[in-house]
Amino acid sequence: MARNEELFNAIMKGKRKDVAALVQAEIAAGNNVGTILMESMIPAMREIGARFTRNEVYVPEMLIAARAMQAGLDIINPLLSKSGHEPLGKVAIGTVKGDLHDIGKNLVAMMVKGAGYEVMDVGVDCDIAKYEEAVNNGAQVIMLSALLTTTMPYMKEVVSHFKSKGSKVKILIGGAPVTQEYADEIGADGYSSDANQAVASVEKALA
Amino acid sequence: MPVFFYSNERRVRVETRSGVLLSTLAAEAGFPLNMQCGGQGACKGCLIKLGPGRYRIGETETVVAAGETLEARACKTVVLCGQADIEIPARSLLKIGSCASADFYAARKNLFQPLENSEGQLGIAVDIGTTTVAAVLVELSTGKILARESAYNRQIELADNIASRIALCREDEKLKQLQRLIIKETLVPMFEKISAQSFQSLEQVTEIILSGNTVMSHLALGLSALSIGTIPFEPLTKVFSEHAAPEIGLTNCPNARVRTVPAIAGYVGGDLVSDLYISEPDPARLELIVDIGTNGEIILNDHGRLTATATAAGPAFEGAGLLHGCRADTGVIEKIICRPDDTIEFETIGGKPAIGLCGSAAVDFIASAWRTGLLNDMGRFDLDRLRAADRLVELNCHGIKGNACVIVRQEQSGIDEPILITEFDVSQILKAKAAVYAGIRTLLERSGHGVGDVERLVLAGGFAAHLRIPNAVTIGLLPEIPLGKYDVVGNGSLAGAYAALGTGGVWEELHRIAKRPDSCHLAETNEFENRFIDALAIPNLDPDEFPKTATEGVNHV
Repeated sequence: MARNEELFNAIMKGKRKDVAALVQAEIAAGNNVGTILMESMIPAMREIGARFTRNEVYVPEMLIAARAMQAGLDIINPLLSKSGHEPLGKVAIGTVKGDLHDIGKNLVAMMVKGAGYEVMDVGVDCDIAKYEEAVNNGAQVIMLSALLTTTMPYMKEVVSHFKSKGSKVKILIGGAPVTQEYADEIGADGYSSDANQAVASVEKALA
Repeated sequence: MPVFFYSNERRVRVETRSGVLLSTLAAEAGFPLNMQCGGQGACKGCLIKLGPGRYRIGETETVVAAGETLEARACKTVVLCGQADIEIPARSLLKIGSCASADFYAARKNLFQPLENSEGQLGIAVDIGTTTVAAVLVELSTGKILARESAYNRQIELADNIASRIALCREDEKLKQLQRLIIKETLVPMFEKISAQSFQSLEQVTEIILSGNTVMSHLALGLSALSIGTIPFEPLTKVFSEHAAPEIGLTNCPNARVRTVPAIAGYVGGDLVSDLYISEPDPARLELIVDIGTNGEIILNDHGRLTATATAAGPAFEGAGLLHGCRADTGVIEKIICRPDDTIEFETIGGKPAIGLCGSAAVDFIASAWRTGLLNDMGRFDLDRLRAADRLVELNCHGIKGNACVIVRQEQSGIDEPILITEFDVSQILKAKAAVYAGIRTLLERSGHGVGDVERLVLAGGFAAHLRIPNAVTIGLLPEIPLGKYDVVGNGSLAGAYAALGTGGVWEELHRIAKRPDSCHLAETNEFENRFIDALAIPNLDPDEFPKTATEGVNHV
């Protein structure tokens, strides 16, 4: 099956109703959901990410495209496991304790999903137990988000918790006040400054 | 030891003291720098060019040889010896929009009720903003305003945004420094100025009222604002105790007592209590009070039931973060119109050659360029048209690539380069307006109302006073309701503090008002994120939100 250009473009332009309708049409036509995802949907998110890196699109367009992608995923996700589709890896993401910000976190989650990973979104105000639960459910990578300099220090506690018990889980951090220096300081496995870079960090962590 | 700062063709000399950071000296010289990260050395907001001399940058001693320059972060650099010439690039200057307003419009009748037996006594009302501070000197027996003054909040030397200032409260030393910066370095000199302006002695001042957001009120009184930074965002206190002025460092008002307008919640402060007081919510109507600043604060009055919220708009409306954004000053563009033939008209403050543009001019640009089709719904330029009009610039500097539209050509510009609006600037404004509009819509939706039910929308704050409302509606910042329903009150925070200097139970009323609103955390609602994403387009992705405006644009994505 070749790429469905209409679906690809609808995601790029963020037309979520069109995306839903086009995905439904593909399924009705009997096409494999894994193929739809891999050949039309994931390439669209990759293209958005690449354009973002080249400064051709900015956060607003990326958010709109990600939401359209989500509309498509909502339809195919329940069908994916039956189709024999295997995700590239399992990732958990959550905003740390004390912090309620989630739009940035949701965008990162969406970009990572859009790259073909299974993402468990553990929400906002997450304590160590929540991340722990995700790891017990098979997360190979956990991504910590913080938007406040006041909540950022909790990242250090999460990292020390997993490192001190010798866990192999990779921990990636991000959010407005977070820097590479901070990631190095607390011993996180990676840092990314934007949602597209986050995808690259996940790929690197699982390589 | 003298240090010379150069910027925008201005040269200012200051005396350095051992160990004082260049960021502090620059602010003293009248060049406050971008300190987004709070002077942690993490961002590149305060990069300056060091001329020949000996410096300490972080922990390292560095010598800049004759004829050479070195780029360094001002927040980490100290001059060690000799005369130093420091160049401040325009992009490192703190850019602040037109919010230093000490003006308010009497929305409420009999705003000030004179104090009996107060002949010869004076009062000072102060609005403490995150970026700017405004004050009026008042004759208490009549309510007459004898002097008005505004200034930067000198705390911007330590950090230009509220989140960083909250984080600084973790260190006792920094907390003391924040209090000293607002009281000793900002209010004391400002009070001297109003005293000189009005030929009145500050010894006559018996009453001082402070009104500001919750963090500013805490910091002015030396209280830690740290708890406002994490869930559940509760401040140390919402009702502030009374002090003798010298007790908090206002040493030039020896006979005054200081009172602070109470707060509603951690992110909704005394400034909004003041806004509420002067706008007199009508218990029989559906009304909104919107104060657009770095934090957009919104109160919904649903027939007497009040709900307050705050939304993080960011500093774009204040000009910060825009390539040529500026605070309102002589030569700053305050108005822009794009014509259908792609000519661009603009007006500057004082009619001087343009040096930059303020937030409300950026709103004008986006609205009029979108109407002519030069800008599409996603805030992208029609590159062919820009090229044909000889207005396209493809930027590629400091790792930033992107398209920009020339507003003022180099030969007419007051700086050594053309004045531009970039697609990235537009995206910054779109994010800011989306946060405000999504906040308004979320509050309305939660109360079961639509935009059409709004009977009055009160706009408070300095930015709104300069805003052309039809343009703000076109870009999707403010809801599409008849213009007659908008009510602009100017600096409501200052107006409330002014009213509280008088009698008539205003002080007690402010305390009653502060207890009334319920607060709503937008991030905890389901609707906000969807509303926010819809609001990222011009005017909105949801075609039902701006039905009239949507027909004004000529092209749609």
